[in-house]
Amino acid sequence: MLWVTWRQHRAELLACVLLLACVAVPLLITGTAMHAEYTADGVAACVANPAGTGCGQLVTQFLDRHSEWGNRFIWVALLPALAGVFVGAPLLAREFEQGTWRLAFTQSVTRTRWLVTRLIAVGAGLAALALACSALFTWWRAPLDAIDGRMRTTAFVIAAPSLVAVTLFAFAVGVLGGALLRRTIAAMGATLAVYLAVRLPMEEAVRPYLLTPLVRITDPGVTADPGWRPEHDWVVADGWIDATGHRLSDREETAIVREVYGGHEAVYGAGTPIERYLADHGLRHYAEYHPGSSFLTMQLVESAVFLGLAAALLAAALWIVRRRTA
Amino acid sequence: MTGTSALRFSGLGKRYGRRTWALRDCSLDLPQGNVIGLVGANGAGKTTLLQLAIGLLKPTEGTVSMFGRPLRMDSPAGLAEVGFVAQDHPLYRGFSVADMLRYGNSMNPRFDRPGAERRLRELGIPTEHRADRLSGGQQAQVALTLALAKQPRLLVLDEPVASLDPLARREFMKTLVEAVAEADLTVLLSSHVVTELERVCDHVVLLHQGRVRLTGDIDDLIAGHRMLTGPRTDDTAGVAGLIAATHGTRHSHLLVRQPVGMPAHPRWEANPVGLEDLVLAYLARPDTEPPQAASPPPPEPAGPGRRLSIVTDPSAAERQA
Repeated sequence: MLWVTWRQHRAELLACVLLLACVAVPLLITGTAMHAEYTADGVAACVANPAGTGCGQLVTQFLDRHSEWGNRFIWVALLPALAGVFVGAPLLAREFEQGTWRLAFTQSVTRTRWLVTRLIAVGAGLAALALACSALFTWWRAPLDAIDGRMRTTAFVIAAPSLVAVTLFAFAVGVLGGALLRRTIAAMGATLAVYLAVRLPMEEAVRPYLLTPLVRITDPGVTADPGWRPEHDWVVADGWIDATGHRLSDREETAIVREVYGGHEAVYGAGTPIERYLADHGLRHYAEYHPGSSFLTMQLVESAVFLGLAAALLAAALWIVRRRTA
Repeated sequence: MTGTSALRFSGLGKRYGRRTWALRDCSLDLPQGNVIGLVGANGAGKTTLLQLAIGLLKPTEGTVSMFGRPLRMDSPAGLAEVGFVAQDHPLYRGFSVADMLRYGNSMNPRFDRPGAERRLRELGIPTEHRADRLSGGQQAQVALTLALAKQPRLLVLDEPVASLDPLARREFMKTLVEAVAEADLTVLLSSHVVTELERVCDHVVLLHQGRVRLTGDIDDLIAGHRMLTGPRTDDTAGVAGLIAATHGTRHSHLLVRQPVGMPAHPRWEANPVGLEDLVLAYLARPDTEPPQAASPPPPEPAGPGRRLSIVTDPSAAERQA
C-alpha cells in the first residue's frame, strides 16, 4: 500500500521539491545578505536596545530596503491552495475519472485502509513540505519580525503551525471535492474557490477575534515623539473614545475631522489640531490589539480551527468512498 | 467442485433514482467451478448484476451470497476471493506493466507475481512498457493477468472483449480458458456477443430488461430445446413447450422446450438448435414471465465437461482429462 501511494504521488512530490528548490535558492542568497546587513548596520543592536542613538532612522532605512520583499510573503497565504488543487483534488477525482477506482476497490485492501493510508502518507508529505517552506520563509523574515513582531498577516501566515494546518485544510478540501465531483478539473476549480472563500474571511475577519484583543486607551498625543522602539503589537481596531466609554463611529469621526479642517475631510492622519480638539472635548484614543506575546496562542488556536476543519472534511471523504457505488 | 453455489442471488433488485429498475426479481444459483456467461442486450442490466455480485453496488432489495456466505466486501478476506475486470479494463495511467504487477503485489496478500510475469512473457507483452500505451487487446490481457494473479475463487469480467478486435478476442478468451483449466475458479462474464460465450461457457444466464429470461447449463438447454419444422400452420396451441414460432410462406418453425427424447408429432421434423438461436428466441418473447419447461428441469450438469471441448491447447485438455 505504501509503495502504491509512493508510486501514485511521486511525480507530485518531485514537482513540489523542485518548486521549493527554485524558491529556496534566491531566498537563501538574499536572506544571507540581509541577515549580514542586519547585524553589520547596527539594526540588531537597535532592536536589542531601542534607546540607542539614531536607531529610528537606521531601522527605517533597513525596513525601506527590505520590507517590500518581506511583505510579498503575504502570497504564501495562497501557497496551500497549490496543495489542495494539485495534490488533494486529483487524489480521488482521478481514480473516479479514469475508472481505476473499480480496480482499486476490488483488490484485497479495504477501501478504508486504502484511503486512510494514502491520506496519511500524502498528508504527512505535504506537512513536511509546508514545514520546510515555513522554516525557509521564517528564517528569511527573522530580522523584519524582530522589528515588527510576528502577529501581522505576512509574518503570521508563514509561521509553521499556521502554514502546516492550512496546507492540510486545503488538501482536505481537494480530497473531498474530488470525492464529490469525480472530475479532476472540476474538483481543482472547486478546491481553489472553497479555499479562497474560507481563507480570506478567516484572515480578514475571524483571526483578529480568535482571541479577545486587549484594549489600550491613550490620551491625545500632545506629548512629544517617544522615539523608535520595536512594535510587536498587532492593532486590529482603533479610533476615538469619549469619557462615557462610547466608541465614535466612522461618521462621527469624519464629522469632527470636517469641523476641525473646515470641510476638507481629505486631510489624513492626526494632525496637532485634531489632537487638540480631542483633548478639549474629553476624547481619547483607543486601540484593540494583540500583544506579540499572544503569537503562539493565536497560532495554536488558528491551527486547531483549520485542523478541525481538515479532519471533518477528510472524514466526509472517507464516508463517501466507503459508500461509493457504481 | 460442483454442487455448491458460487453465487446465489435471492430476489435481487437494483433501482436507480426513484423508479428506474435496472434489475428486478433476480433469483439465481450459479454453480461453483463453472464458466457462466451473462447474456443480454446493452442496457439489460448485465453490468448492474455483475457489480452487485462483487459489492461495487448495493442492492435495493434482495441479497447476494458468495460461496454460501453473505457478501463481505468490506473485509480483506472477502475482497481476496474475487477478481474483477471492469468493462474498459482500467489501468493506472503512467504506470508501466511492471508497476501494475507491483501494484497488484502490494494490494493483495496472495498475489502470484512470478506467475503473472510468466503469463505476460508468454503473451509477448513487455513489462517495461507503459500500460496505457499498449494496444487495447494487450491492456485487456494485463487487466486479466492482474485479476488472475490475485488467485481469486470467483473471477468476474464485465464485457471483457467488447472493445477488442476479433483476433484479440480470441487471444483473450484463450488466456481465460487456460487459466480456468489451471485453477479451481468460477468465472462469471458478460457479453452481448453470444458466439463468444458459446465457446467458453458451461452455463448461461439470459437477462432482458432487468429480468432473468433463461438460465441453465448450456448443454442441457441445447438438449432440451429443438426446432420443429413442418408445413405452415397457424394452429400452434397444442404444441408443448412452445417458445417461439416463425412462419414462412410454406413452412412454420417452432422453437420448443421439450424433454430429451420426447417424440415429436410426425408432421414436424425436429432439429437441434444453436445457443444463439435459443437466445434470440427468448429475447423476442413478449412476456416477462420466466418460461416454464414442459417437464421437470433437466438433471444436474455432468461435471465440467463442456469447457474442455473448446480448450485449444491440447496439453491443457490432457491435463484435465
